[in-house]
Amino acid sequence: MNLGPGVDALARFLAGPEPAWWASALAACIVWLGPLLLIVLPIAALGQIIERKVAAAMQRRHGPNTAGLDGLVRFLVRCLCWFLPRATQERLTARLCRLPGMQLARRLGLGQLVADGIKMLGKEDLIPGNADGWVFRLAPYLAMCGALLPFAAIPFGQHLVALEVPVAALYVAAAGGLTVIALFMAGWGSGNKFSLLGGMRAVAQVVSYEIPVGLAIAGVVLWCGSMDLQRIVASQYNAHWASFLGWNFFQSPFLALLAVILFVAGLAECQRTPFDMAEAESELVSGFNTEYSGLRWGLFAMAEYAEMFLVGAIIATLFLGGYQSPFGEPAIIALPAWLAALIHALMLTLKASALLFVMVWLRWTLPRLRVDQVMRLCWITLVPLALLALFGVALTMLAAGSVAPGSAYGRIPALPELHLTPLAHALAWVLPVAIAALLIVLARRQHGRLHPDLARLSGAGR
Amino acid sequence: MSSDLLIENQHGERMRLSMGPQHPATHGVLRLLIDSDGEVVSRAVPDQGYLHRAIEKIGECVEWAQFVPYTDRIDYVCAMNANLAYCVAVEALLNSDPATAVRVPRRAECLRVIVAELNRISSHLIAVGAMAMDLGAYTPFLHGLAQREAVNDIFEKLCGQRLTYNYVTIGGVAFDLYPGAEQEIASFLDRFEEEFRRFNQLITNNRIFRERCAGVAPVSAEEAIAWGLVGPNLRASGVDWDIRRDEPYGIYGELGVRVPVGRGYAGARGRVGDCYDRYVVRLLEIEESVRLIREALRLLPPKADKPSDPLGGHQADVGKQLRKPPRGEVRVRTEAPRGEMGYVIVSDGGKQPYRVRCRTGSFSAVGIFEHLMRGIFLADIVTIIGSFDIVVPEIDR
Amino acid sequence: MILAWINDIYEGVASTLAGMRLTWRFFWENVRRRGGATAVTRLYPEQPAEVVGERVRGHLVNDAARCIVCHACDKACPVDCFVMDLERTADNKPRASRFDIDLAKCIYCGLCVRACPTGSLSMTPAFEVEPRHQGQPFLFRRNSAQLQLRLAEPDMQRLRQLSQLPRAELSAEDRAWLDSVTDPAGEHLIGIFGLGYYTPEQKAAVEAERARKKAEAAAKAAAAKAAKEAAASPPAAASAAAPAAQASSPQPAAPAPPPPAS
Repeated sequence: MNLGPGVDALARFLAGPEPAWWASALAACIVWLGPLLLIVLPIAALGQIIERKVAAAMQRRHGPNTAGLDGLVRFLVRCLCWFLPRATQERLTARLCRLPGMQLARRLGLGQLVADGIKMLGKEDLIPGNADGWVFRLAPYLAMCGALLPFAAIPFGQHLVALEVPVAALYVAAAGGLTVIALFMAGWGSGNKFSLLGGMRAVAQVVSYEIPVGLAIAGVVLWCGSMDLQRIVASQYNAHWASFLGWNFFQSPFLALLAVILFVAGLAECQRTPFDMAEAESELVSGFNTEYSGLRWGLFAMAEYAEMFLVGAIIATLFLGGYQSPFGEPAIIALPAWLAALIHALMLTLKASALLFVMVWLRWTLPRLRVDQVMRLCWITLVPLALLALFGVALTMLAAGSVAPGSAYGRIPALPELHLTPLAHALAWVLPVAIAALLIVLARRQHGRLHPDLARLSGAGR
Repeated sequence: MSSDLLIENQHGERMRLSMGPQHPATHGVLRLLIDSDGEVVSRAVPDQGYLHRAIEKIGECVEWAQFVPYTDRIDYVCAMNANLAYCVAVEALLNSDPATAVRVPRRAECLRVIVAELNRISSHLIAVGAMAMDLGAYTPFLHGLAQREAVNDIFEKLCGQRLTYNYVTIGGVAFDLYPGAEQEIASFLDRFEEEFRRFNQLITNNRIFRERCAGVAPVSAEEAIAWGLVGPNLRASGVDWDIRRDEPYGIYGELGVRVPVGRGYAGARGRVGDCYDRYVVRLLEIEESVRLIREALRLLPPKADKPSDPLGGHQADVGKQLRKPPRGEVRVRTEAPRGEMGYVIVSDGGKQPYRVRCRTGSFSAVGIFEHLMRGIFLADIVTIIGSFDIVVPEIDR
Repeated sequence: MILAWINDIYEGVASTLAGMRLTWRFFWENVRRRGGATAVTRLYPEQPAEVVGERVRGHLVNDAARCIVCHACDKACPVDCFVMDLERTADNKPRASRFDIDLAKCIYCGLCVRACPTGSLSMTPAFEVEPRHQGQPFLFRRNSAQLQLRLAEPDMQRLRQLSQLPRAELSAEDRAWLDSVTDPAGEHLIGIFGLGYYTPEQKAAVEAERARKKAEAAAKAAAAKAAKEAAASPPAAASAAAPAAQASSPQPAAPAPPPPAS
């Protein structure tokens, strides 16, 4: 079996030099589940708290801050130190609760996470009378699958990838598309008109936004000459100490534009404001998950944050150097393999989390688009822009040769070399940006008039 | 199950959606019966009456002065203006007979303008904030609410309550300013102007917000008059009409109220009288209210010892007049944040009104809903409700 | 057309960035000052709402010693939340043998306080409705059976005394008696006359405040008199001193004794 060096090594470790298929499968599962359990699921669970805290700070509120971990500590002390006298237990609890981290946990409302979890588990699992039973029950699990399956192909490190296939980019886009089926199942199965409308909106929106997503991925594939995510990451390697200079985002303004398009389309794919048509609480009550409660609702919520993290990870992988560190990447590669893997996994997590934060940030800034405007944005703005950027990427490549190699990682065969001299690089940036700026100035002059009353209201005249 | 969803075959293959009375965006308990073909609404009919409390009937059973706290409950978002409308109406009744004429002290008139305009600011903040929230932007609403709380703090110090003030009384106001109130109001206005600019940077000029409102449900000037729209909803359609300027009561005549009207603020895609105009007209009214408060503070005569002092007092004595008011009928209208709040009061000379009839802005606005909500998107319904600034207890009373 | 398209994109991006800059500013202010120092909200039970101003209309309270059972409040009340009975003391002074305020009916409009000629009715700065809340000895619940209960003066004294002690310190007998006249689980939230709605400290504070205001008013009146002598004064408006219009001062300088209600 050839599932990539990391998985193969693990399989050989499990079942000898010639591992059976089941050993390979087991190894792949372990490599898939490791980052999933250690990184993705905790972040998906934390997402709710992050969202609430960020929203609170932006709205000058406190947010969740009363549920600390004190009760949990007391409970654990009672359970673990049952043999001690009660007074000693209390003293121990008090001392533990005085630790500085505990206060921080309380202020951050981390206890809310535990409380919410217990509440979700304890809630009645309501199924409406005219729900389509198994469709309704299955949908949340499918949503979770759609959010977690793509992580199998996302490289968290040089060897930390479960599914190292040559068409990984395609697989990620395809597996991520599973969520929309879950949303539509939820909308249809609930037997509620608001849910049905939410499900319809979700389908229309996600199917449309697959196109800019596909075009953005195509741009990177064109630039790097591969659909293998490992190879795409490797091609962004730069031996300079400021290794972020090698990232795709900084290679060409067209790639940067594609990154933005992918981010916007990714927002739409995971139904986040300003594209939260499927949920739209002021229009559709709660859209597709109106009728869900308890654990099933919790799964939807987790899937939402897992998917946001996924979008962040995909953008990081394609445009922001994947698991590479922005500085001193050559030194990190020279470290022992396990340490490098740790740092790499951390780097990808940080990048994806930063993008997740931007998504949360956007949600508490922007209003929601209307159905027709979502479609207009997709077909009239994003798709033409993506085509333009794709054309620009091709043009740049035509002008400069071909693509940078990932040979620093050794096992990846060298690709044809792209010779971008610093002058050409600068030119590749300056020319398109200058043209865009010129066009914007022209456009502003012709269409950008603001009524003086509005200008005064927002203090522009001052 | 699937066959249940597509019901009401008398309208063809249409879905009938009951939006409200429990719905996050219907501003209380308004209910809309919507016939829709997927996202496109073919017809929406408002269904009212979920908040009816027979306040007008109560008005016939309590004494003149006892009805003032009930006016708080007619429109609790701007209770000061609701108090004021009723008190102005009763004063007009008393003035219809020279024997019972009442002269409101000038200081009280200034205080009335100050509290009414402060409450107009806080009411409009709810209106524009809630509209932004209906459109999915949650943050501006809470920033607006923070400013509303600052106004409520001033009101709490002034009269002891934050929502149902019962501050304006027949013949004046219940309390004089507390020590340091002038400075506090002035400094609030300065702070508020800065916050208001931030609010507008955050949402008013936001492209998505403008796109959502531009050209949605435009009401022409003729339509607005024909459907009896009042207040900001009328002015947004370009009709230059404001009771404070055109039929002034109190000292509004001296203040020179400047009236903003809708001009198609949304630009190329907008039209005069669309949702964005209704929104912007409210913002401009907030701006104007700030100016009026400053002006009224400037005009405020110094405080006198006696509450009934005609210049510096805060409360003319009306106890005797109210026990034996003149017989007759008065119609008075005032400009509340949601438009004209008019009272028709019939007196049979007794201690209680014979009839109290109240006409409110939200009631006028809800009439045009069915006309506007045809062939629009489902999402536009919440935009329209938000832009007309519905307060449901005011509709039902 | 192309330019309009570009302008649309530019405006969308620019206004989004402007909004994000603002929200980031709020966010960063809040994070930097730690724990939401810029927050305008309160952590309610731990950080109680500070009472703003002196005119706060919390709960309606009757000061038994001052009440002359004139029914002015009863007449002013738009919702009829008062029930009161008159009795005469040994020296023929009017006194309330019963003064119930049905707080479930009360709409906290304050008309009765403005109407009260002796200043015995006032509204507390405290507004919590939870009877078990600390510092709230004056709110009692009664059940339907106890609603018409009338207490004799000695019982009133006893109730007043017991109500100020923590419940844990009461004897079993006292507790049983207290439960027979009030009911912690009762559905009628009632303030009962003579219970001493204030704690003694609160009462002392209120008395001191009233004395201070009275002295202030007297000083002011003297100053005004002096000023009047200096300048020609405008004719004083005739004041019928109708109780309903007594608005600003809870304690008129010289309360005219109204006719006792029969």
